[in-house]
Amino acid sequence: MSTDSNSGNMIEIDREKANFHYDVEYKHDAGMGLSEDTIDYISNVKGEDKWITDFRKKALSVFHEKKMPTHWASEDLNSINFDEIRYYLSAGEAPKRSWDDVPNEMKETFERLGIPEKERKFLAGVEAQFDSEAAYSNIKDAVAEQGVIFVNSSEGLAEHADIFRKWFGKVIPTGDNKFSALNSAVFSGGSFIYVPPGVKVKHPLQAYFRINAEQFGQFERTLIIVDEGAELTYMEGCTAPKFETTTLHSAVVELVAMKDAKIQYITVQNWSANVFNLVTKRGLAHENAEVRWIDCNIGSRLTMKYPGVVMKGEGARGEVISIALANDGQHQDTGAKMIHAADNTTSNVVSKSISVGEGRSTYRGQVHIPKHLKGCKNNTECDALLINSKSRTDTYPAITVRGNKHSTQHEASVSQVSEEQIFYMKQRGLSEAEAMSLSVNGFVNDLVREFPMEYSVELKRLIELEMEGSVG
Amino acid sequence: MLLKEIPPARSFLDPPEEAREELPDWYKSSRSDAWMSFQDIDWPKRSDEAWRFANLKKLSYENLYDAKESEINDAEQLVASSLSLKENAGQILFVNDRVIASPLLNEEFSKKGVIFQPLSQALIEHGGLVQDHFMTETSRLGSAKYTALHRARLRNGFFFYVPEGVSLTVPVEVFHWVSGNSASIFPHSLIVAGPGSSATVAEYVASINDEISFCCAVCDIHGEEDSQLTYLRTQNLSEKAQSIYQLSSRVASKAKLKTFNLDLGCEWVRNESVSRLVGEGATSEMLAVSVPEKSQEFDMRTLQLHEQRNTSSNLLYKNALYDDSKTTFAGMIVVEDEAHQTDAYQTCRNLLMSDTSEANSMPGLEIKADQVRCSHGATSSPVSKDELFYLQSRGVKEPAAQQLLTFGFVKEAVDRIGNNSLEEVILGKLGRRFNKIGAR
Amino acid sequence: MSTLEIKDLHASVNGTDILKGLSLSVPKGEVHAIMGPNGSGKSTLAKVMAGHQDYEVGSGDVLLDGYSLLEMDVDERARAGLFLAFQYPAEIPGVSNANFLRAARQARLPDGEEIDAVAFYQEMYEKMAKLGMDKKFTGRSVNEGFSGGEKKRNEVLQMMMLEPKYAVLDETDSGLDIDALKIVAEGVNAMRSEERGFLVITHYQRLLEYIVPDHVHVLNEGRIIRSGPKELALELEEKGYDWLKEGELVKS
Repeated sequence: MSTDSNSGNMIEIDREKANFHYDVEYKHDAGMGLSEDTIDYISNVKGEDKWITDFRKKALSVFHEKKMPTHWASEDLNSINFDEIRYYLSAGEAPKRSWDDVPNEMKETFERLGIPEKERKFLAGVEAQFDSEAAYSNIKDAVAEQGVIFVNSSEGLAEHADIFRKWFGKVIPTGDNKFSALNSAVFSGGSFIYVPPGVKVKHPLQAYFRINAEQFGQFERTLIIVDEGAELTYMEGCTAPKFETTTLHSAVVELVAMKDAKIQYITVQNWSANVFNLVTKRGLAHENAEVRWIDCNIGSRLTMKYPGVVMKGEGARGEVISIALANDGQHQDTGAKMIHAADNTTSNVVSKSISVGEGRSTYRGQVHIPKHLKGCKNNTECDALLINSKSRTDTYPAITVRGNKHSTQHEASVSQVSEEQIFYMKQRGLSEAEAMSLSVNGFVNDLVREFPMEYSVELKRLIELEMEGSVG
Repeated sequence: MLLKEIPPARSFLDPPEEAREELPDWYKSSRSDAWMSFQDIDWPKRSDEAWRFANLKKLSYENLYDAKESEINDAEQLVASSLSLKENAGQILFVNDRVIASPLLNEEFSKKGVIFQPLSQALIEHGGLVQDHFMTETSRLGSAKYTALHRARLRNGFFFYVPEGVSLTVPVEVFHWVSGNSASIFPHSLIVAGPGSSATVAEYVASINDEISFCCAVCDIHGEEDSQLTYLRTQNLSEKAQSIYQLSSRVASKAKLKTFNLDLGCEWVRNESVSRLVGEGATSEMLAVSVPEKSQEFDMRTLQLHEQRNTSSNLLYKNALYDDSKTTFAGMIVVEDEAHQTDAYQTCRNLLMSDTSEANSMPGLEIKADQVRCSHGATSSPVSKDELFYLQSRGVKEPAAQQLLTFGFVKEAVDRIGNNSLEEVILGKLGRRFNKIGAR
Repeated sequence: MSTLEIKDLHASVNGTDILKGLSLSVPKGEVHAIMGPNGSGKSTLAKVMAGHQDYEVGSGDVLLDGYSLLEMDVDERARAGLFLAFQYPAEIPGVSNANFLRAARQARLPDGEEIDAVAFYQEMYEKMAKLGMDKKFTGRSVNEGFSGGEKKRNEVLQMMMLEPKYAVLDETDSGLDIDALKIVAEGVNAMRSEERGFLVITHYQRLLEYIVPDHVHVLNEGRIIRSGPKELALELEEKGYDWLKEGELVKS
């Protein structure tokens, strides 16, 4: 069935579309397993300063010290065998500014995923990461001329160390959790963005993270700093081919919104069902700044992701809008973390999850309003839709409020598509799958609208495809 | 003249007193087994998920002793000094887990086979019936160590059994007082509502003096098919006391259970309340009100466990927090695989009355079934400025307006008890509490 | 063969027999009304024809232009040309009326053929105008928060858009004031044609003043106990249903 009439240039995408991979000759391969040698190898290939190597090694010891968080999280984490993962794979070439210079297999990969086409249509800049390093990175001249920096993390560290180092690991310290420590040890790729004061970047910057190799771990590290009064929308897409073996994706994303700045960070992930997606994302909002996470989680075997906002300046705002769809064999463990650290800060969380077949979706939330603040507000809504009798949903929020000058409200509900709704739609001639898909799209419709047009169309299509074969 | 021998004080870390010779063997071994498990189980840690946000520093276990027999014998005066019902079907009074006056049960009901006895007596006279129901529920919410402690050290409590089809029109009442510095009591409540029966139970726990004390209580309720039971408990121990209270209910097919808990006293309270809906059409309503002040900490954990289809549960907890007080509410609704067509609701509302009070809410859901109507809500906020303004515009002074609104806030949960005389008792206690706070 | 034919239909819900040998034939080009007291089986008939899972067909058949509907799934019956205007239409949160109708129209096209969006919207707006519906209606979720009258109007709009061979109107007059009733009736009358048959289920004669039937059938206890010309409806209005029930007793 069709989705939206008005999009003559609809983006064609489906599950199988991302399910391909190329045999690429990697010049640099850190090999299987994780040790200090792995880190030396990565640092050496990248030609990093000693402080970075030391930072990595310290992080590695934190990673080893920290236990798997299975006392609250899924036991499935124990299925990850860290010795059977390759931690760094690259072709050993600097990212290209033109698609023509990108090696063929990589270029074809991104063409099949429609990235260059999107870039031409509506993006201010694109970075396309292939396994550990970016294959392509370009920012439109007009945007670069405004002083906007958009490079990969290695280049950021090398060329813009002064700004980078100031915020690097400050929003998400190495020891935040076991996987932020892992990322800090072996990070490679990801974006570094700096937007100068007052610059409002009109079109989104986009990063695309592609895993091509088997038994591989992708550990991109993104740091975005939007200076006073500036604005940025950043979008990321992620895919990987289906392998029998485990693939690990463990990113760290740090956002810094200075006074009056606005950052909107949009994710549409469509991982294959063998990917462990364990991501730490947090934004720091200064006075009157706004950080919004708009997050859509489809696919993966286990996703654990709780985007957070630390509202550090008075009047700061934090928001998380998330959609998660858990199909057979998948567990979407997502949520939000809102830390109020200044007066008159407001946060909003809207989460909608859909559990299909034997899928499981979990919401975990934390809202913290400490003492001696005033005028803080949080509103949280989480709604879960269960499609089959074997699907499952959980909600585990934790809200702490100190003092009588704040208000928080948390509401959650669980529902099903009713039999009467399905009967009604079928009486109008829709098949059960079409009726179900329409209902599910209806359930998330208000959130899908928060995504840019191009992405919302893609999202609807992805949801439809996930719903196919889920009924009967 | 011989001096009366004073036995040495027995810490609850010491092996417990041996059970009386005449008690049944199964009970004696249950007691000694429990002491072994108590020693095996680790003390709760804050890093345990079940103890998240709990301030375990306030929970001491040293220098607490099994409560001794108290000098106080004037039961009537004790009853007179506490609010109770005008009319009851029976009463049992304890000081330090010892019966201080002859238990009463209206003859009309004893003739119908109703049993309302101190546990020590029921264990001998109705050993089999007690054994079938005694501590059959597992501790699910984190206090297994204290469940074992209770089982190993308990001295008394009550057994209330309503036979099939019998209806008690008025409530039975149980009073527990604690007296003596560092005294620990372990009252046990066992309630069995037979098929098609109906009854109401009110239990009051309080201190006689302003002393350190510890109450480690367990209440088990068995609501058999088609039964209707209302159970209410108020806790008004001294401000230096600590309390761990575990309430477990098993609600059978078409049975209706309503529980209400009021917490006013104690420096530190941990309440765990589990309701298992084990038969189709079972209904459980779980209500609670607390009004902590000063540095009181009330920690409430709940579980609505739907094991069968077509069951419903509805939880409403309301806390009004003053001064430096702190509450933690962790509620969980679990709808098991086959429990389709379940309705489950959970609401926790915190009214923050001071700038230094703290409310933690963890409302949780785990849904594994289909066609479930389920929701939860948690709010934390001060008294509404609009409501306050409205009352003030009618000439009510601010402190009085605050008090009125707070009273109205907690009253919503009290109103749901659905029994006027019980509601009056609760509102009386709440009124005195608010007046005391208002008068400061 | 151009008929909607119900043959000796027996149906039950939760083990209770509701339809007990109902037979009826609606040729294309005709409007038949079924009247009957509460509990006579009127709404059951509509649900059974549409294929609702709660109803079990014991025996008998429903033939649409000679093809049995009973083996078909709900949506297949709909695409075969059967439309049911519901007494209580379901609400579908988040799904807009326009998207819903488009999906329903698209479902009727062969694979690979895409609906012409511009023509679709044009047609929808024209038909909405006939029913006095505001354009904003298209963006609202299907039936969500609609008043009783809005819901019924929406049912008629869907019928106009889906152009069924046979339409079953289940108590379409309930919950409508007189103005809304007239508009809905005009919509139905505009669709009357040689190519289409109607079965109008109603408790009251009032609707039949506006949608004038060719035949009236009286349903009682799961069977048609009397059929006659449109005047039968008036007679029923005057004398009530008991008159017929008694009559039947006398006859037997």
